Amino acid sequence: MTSRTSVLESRSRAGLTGRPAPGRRPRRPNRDTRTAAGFLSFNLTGFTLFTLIPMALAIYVSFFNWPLQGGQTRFVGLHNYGSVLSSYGFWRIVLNVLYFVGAYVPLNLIVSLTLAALLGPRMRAVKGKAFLRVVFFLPVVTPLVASSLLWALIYNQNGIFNTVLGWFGLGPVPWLSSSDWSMPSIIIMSVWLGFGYNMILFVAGMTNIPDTMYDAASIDGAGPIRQFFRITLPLLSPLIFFGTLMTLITSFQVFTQAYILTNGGPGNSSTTLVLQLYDDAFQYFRLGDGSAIAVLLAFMILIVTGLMFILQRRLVHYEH
Amino acid sequence: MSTESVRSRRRVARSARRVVLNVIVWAAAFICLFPFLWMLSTALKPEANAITSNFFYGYHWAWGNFRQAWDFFPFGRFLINSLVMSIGDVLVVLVASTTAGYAFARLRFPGRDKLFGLYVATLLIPASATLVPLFLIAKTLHIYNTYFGLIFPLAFTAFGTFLMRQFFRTTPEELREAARLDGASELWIFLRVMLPLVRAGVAVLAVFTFIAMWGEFLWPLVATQNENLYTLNLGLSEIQGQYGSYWSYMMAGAAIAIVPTVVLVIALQKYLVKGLAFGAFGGR
Repeated sequence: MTSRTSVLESRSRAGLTGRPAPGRRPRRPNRDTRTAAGFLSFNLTGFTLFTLIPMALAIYVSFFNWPLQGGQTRFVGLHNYGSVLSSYGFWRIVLNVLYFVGAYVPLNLIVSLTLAALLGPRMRAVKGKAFLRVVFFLPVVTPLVASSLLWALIYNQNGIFNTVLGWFGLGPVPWLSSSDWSMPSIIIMSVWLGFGYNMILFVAGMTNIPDTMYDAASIDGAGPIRQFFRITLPLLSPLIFFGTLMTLITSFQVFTQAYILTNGGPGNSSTTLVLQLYDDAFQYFRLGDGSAIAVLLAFMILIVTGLMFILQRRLVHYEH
Repeated sequence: MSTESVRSRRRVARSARRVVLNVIVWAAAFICLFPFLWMLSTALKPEANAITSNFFYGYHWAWGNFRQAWDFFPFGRFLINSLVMSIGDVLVVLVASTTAGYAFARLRFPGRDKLFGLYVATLLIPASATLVPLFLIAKTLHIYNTYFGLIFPLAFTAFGTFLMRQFFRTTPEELREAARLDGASELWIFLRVMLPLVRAGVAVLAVFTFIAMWGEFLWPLVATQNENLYTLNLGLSEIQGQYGSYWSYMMAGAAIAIVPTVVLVIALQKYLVKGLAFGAFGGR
């Protein structure tokens, strides 16, 4: 921290209490407050209306029998939670999501770390790295509906995957039409569309690791693989933590791939929590049930986030 | 064994390693690009033969598919709706985030840090949790099934405010002090002194908001009722639901949906990394 920043920090702390810092222009906080009110008004209005109130409302609605059309809304206490949690389908859906998260997140990290190492600044042997980074990033920014349609075509019973498998005397695999394959198909497709995000993040982190660290290691006789595990991984660990956390949070909410590729089927073999939330609220018009699922999902994500932060204290290496 | 032959053997090993690494990476790139290539190839096959394992069908490419898809489905309308929603959200997000980010970063007012803490805390709540409430609010405000309803409910997440605050914090305090001593108005200081200093941040936020909104599916699915307001994503999904076997047309439509993001990514590569490190797109 430079001295200037710390002066700013202490000034802002003085501002927080509403008292002007001693010896400063006394009118300043007043003028700042009025200005801030003006600058914040637009954002604060929208934020209250479309972020804060909806979060409170999500919990509120989950305590009501709240039909989408007609009918009276009625307070039912925890009944929605009871009916959601006791339905046989719900646990299958939770398992589906855990299956997805448990397979997708590690696969994503393995692929993205490997390719980041191959496209990172240390790898002088690989040609065309800038171009390759864009290629691997393209699926990330491609609209999910469009990429899901591409994969629906590829996974088609007579599609290219089964044709290629046929060349080797394998298959055909019922990618989207069997309850054993629906989830793996969604996972494979998701790894394709998602790993580029973490890969770009990790490449950026690698460029910040000073060369001198590696020079010292190679003088000690450490080869590139050892260097990766002993230098790159530990120094990258804060970023790996961040990437993993974001990937976890996103993957608990997987929706579009499942909606387009299988619509949760066959049966409910690939139904996800957000898909069930959507169906309950907007297909069966039971907003209360949908909200109960939303609250449960938010809880799950909060618990996982908390666990990640506990893990982080043991595993993540911070400098200083 | 002479040192010469050891050296040349090492050289061979090194160039072998080089070839293997390049083969691995470029093979991965081909696999990554393949779905896009397959999309284009299918979009250019005659509809009757869309599902074939040949990369090219026969001797001609059916460029007419794009035309027919365009005529058969209201892609023009979908495209306009997607543009209105994405650009509208970019504008609203930019205004809301730069003003609030500036206030949180550079203005002193009571309760500032607590309020900002509240903003950051909402980042922990998954977006899908507020789907039902947003729908109810859109109904209450009578913006359900309107452009306003498509745009505004998604524009006020804490992410943009958080991002712009980070950028404004890097600006020198002295400039603002000097402008104030010169008697400049607060709005003038913001627009003419501060905002130009965070151009990079504004660009990052604009690009990411556009890409995110262009890809957004769940909210338009919930917030619109009639086809006139369908975005491209919604239109494509409806076409798949109703005419699931029109593969050539669907791939032509998917190609249309993909073009803007491809162009943006290629043109604005340097901004991507910055946005990702702040958690744009909420991870993948």
